[in-house]
Amino acid sequence: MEAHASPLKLRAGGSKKTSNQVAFITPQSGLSSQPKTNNGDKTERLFMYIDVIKDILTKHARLPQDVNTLQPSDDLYEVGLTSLSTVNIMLALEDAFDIEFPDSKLNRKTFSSIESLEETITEILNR
Amino acid sequence: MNPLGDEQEFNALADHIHQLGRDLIRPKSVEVDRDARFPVEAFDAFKACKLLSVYIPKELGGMGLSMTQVCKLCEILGGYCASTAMIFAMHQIQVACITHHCEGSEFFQNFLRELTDKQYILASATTELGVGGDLRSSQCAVLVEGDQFTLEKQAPVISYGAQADFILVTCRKNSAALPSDQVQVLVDRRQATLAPISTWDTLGFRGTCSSGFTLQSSGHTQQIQPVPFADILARTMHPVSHVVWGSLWLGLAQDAVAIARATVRAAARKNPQIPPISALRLTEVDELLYTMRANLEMTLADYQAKLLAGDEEAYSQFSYAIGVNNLKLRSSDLLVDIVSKTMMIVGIMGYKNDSPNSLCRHLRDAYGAALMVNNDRIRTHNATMQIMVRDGR
Repeated sequence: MEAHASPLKLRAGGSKKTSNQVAFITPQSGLSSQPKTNNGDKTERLFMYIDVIKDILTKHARLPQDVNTLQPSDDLYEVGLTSLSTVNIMLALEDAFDIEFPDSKLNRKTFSSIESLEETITEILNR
Repeated sequence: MNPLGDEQEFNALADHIHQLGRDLIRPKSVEVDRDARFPVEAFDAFKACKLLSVYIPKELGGMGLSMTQVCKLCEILGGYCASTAMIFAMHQIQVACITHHCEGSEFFQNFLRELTDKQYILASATTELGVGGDLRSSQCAVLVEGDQFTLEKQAPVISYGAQADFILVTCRKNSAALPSDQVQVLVDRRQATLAPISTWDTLGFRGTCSSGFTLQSSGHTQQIQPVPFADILARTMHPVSHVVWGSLWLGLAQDAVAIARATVRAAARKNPQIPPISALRLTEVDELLYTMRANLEMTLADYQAKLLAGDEEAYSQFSYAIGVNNLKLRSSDLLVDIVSKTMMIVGIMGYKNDSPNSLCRHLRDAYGAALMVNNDRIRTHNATMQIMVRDGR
C-alpha cells in the first residue's frame, strides 16, 4: 500500500489544493476571455483533463504498456488495471482535481477507460 | 418471464421439495456424507420434477421462478442435506450465468431449451492451479482455430465435475490476453476428458465431490460466451452465489436450531416445574438466526429489485459489491456460531454421530462456508473498496 502514502498524508494534513494547482484544469481558466465557441472551449478543456488523467494513470495504474499508446476508449481492465490500482488512481484524481467521487460513480465503468474518467470528472466539476 | 411466479404453484412445489427432503434426501444424507458420494437419488428426483430448469424463463421452457423463489428452494434443501443443497445451488448459479447473459446468442438460448428438456447438470471450473481462488485471473486460454476451440485447464476443484453434463470454464479469451481478460466457455462433458489430480476427502460438504481435474476439451466457438466474464461475474455470479449459498446455510442453521428446540422442549416436558436453562440458550441462538435471515433477506430483496429494474450499472457499484460480500462474510461466520451453540444445547446426543439428534454433519458442513471463497480473500477485496466508498450506501 506504499502508493497510498502520499495522497493519504495530504488529506490527513487537511491541506486543500491551492488555486494554482487546480487553475489549469478548471473550465474557466484562461479560456473564457478568448472569443471561442462552446465547442472549442470544450475541446481544449477535455484535452487538458485527459493529460492530467494520463499522467495519473502513468504513475498509478501499473499497466504493462505505455499509457500514451492507449486510445481514450480502450478498456483499462482489459489491459491489466487491478482493483488496488483503481484505489490509487481515485485518490490521485481526487487530489489533482480537488473533487470527491460520489458513491454512485464508484463503479467499474467509471474507471474502465480514459474517456469515462474524463466524463465523470467533468460531470462532478460541473455540479 | 413472470418474475414473481405463481404463488400457489410455487407453494405446491415447495411442499413437494419438503416431502422429498423428509422421505429421500435426509435419509440418504448420512450415506452421502459418510461415503463422500454424489446424492444421485436426490438429483434423479429433481430431474423428474424439472427442478434443474426452475430458473430458466418460461419462454425457453423453464419454470420461470424468481431468484427469491430459487433461494427459498435452496433454504429448504439446506435443512435436509447441505451437500445436496450446495450442488443444487451451484447448478442454479451456472444456469443464471447463462440465462442473464444469453440475449445475443441463439446458441445459448437453444442450450437452455435443451437443458430444460434433458435436465442437464451444470458445474463450474473457476479456480486454477497457480492462480488459486482468484476468480478474476486465469492462466489457461481458449485457443480458437476456424470455428473450433480447444481448452485445457488445471482445476484443483470442480464440484461434482465427474457427475456434470456441462461445465462452465473460465479462461483467458486468447493466448495473448492478460490474466484478467477472461471469458466463460461451456464445455460439453462428451467433448472433454477429466483426469483426476486431487481427491475430495474433507471435513464437510463431502457429497459435493469437489475433486480436482485436468480438463481437456474442444468444441464449437459458439460455446464461448459472447460477454466478458467480468460482466457475468458482477451482474450474476457474484450476487447469485452469495444469495443462494446464504440461503442454504440458513436452512442448515435452521435445522440445527430445530433440533435444539426439540431438545429444550423434551426437557421442559420432563420437568414442568422448572424452565430448562437450555431455553435461555435457545433464545440466544434464535437471535443469531434472526440476524442471519435478516441479512439474507435484505441482500436478496435488493438484488431481486435490481434484476426487475434492469439497471445494468448498479451491479458494478463498489458499495453494492461490498454489501454482497458482507452477506457472505456474516452468514458464514454466523453459521458456525449458531451450530456450535446448538451443540451446547443438545449436548452429548448432538455430539454422537449415530443419534437421531446428531449435529455432527451440521457442524462439519458449517466450517466449510467461510472457506469456500475464503473469507479473508473477500475481506481483502472489501478493504480495498472501503478506501474508496463514502457512506457505502
